[in-house]
Amino acid sequence: MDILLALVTAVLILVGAVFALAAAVGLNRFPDLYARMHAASKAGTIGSALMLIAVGVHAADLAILARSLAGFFFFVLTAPVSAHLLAKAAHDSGYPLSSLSVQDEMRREEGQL
Amino acid sequence: MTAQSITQFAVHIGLFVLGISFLLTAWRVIKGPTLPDRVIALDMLVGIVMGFIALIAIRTGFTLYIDIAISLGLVGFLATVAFARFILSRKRRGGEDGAPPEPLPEEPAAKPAHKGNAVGAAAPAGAPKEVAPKPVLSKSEATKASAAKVKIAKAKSAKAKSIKAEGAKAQGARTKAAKKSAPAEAPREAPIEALGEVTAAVPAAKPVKPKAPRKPAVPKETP
Repeated sequence: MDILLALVTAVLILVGAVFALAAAVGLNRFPDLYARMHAASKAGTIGSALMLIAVGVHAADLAILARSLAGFFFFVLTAPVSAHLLAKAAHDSGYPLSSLSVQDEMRREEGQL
Repeated sequence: MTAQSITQFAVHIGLFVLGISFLLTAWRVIKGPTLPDRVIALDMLVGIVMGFIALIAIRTGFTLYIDIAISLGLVGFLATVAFARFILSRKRRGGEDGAPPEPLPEEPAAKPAHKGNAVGAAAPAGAPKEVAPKPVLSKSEATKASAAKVKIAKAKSAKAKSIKAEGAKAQGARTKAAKKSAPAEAPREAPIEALGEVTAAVPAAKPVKPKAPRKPAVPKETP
């Protein structure tokens, strides 16, 4: 049982760390503000949230697992929303898409207002 | 391979990988050409630090650190929301990411053409790229700006009215009607036009008797 818990914890930690690394690499490599928002809000959130779950599993205590799950749900619900709000504010302020972009759908919505 | 050693090994590798991602994200904070780039990188830094706290909690056994991680997530989320609000109120500054500085007042013909461009050019792909570099005022800002310009025009017409009553009033009503018919135009030239029309009307209105009862209930005065 100890070995099983330790293995699950180790897998969660490693997968979370790989997601955080992928998010950081994407943050540097993507050409555009809006693409970087994708990397930070999705991959970064999952990486950190998996580590919170790992702490909860490692403790083998229901109270600590409940707290870590509360933190997981809170972070997964709020961090992507804040990143998306930031991208929406940047788009409304006029920050342009990269030249690789094909279509700006939100700009079309503004024009149709 | 005891359970403890597996966990400690994973924690060490996780700490190392998180350190690398922390440095990469900090590089984006330093380099990010625009302000939202830096803010999104700071938001991700908060997430990475939460991962750090969780790993230290596993390593030392103090599970109280999870509460610290939760509160840090809360603060980071609110900070990003506050920054988004600030960016929205600030608009895009010139020269920040190599962008041209704030443009001169747009031509009145450019604004409707720009909106028409945005609608018509969205259907074929690739066309909005030409439209994108122009900094776009949102519609509420445009109407606010036009309302402010209408106010300035009204104040100028009211000032000219104190010199000549009848002629200036007719002129101001005409410019006000012209402004109401075209609210989307950027009327930064309009007050100058109004002033030009008013000053042109002032010599034309000379034959009118200057002693006219000043009506207090002037519709133009009310915003």
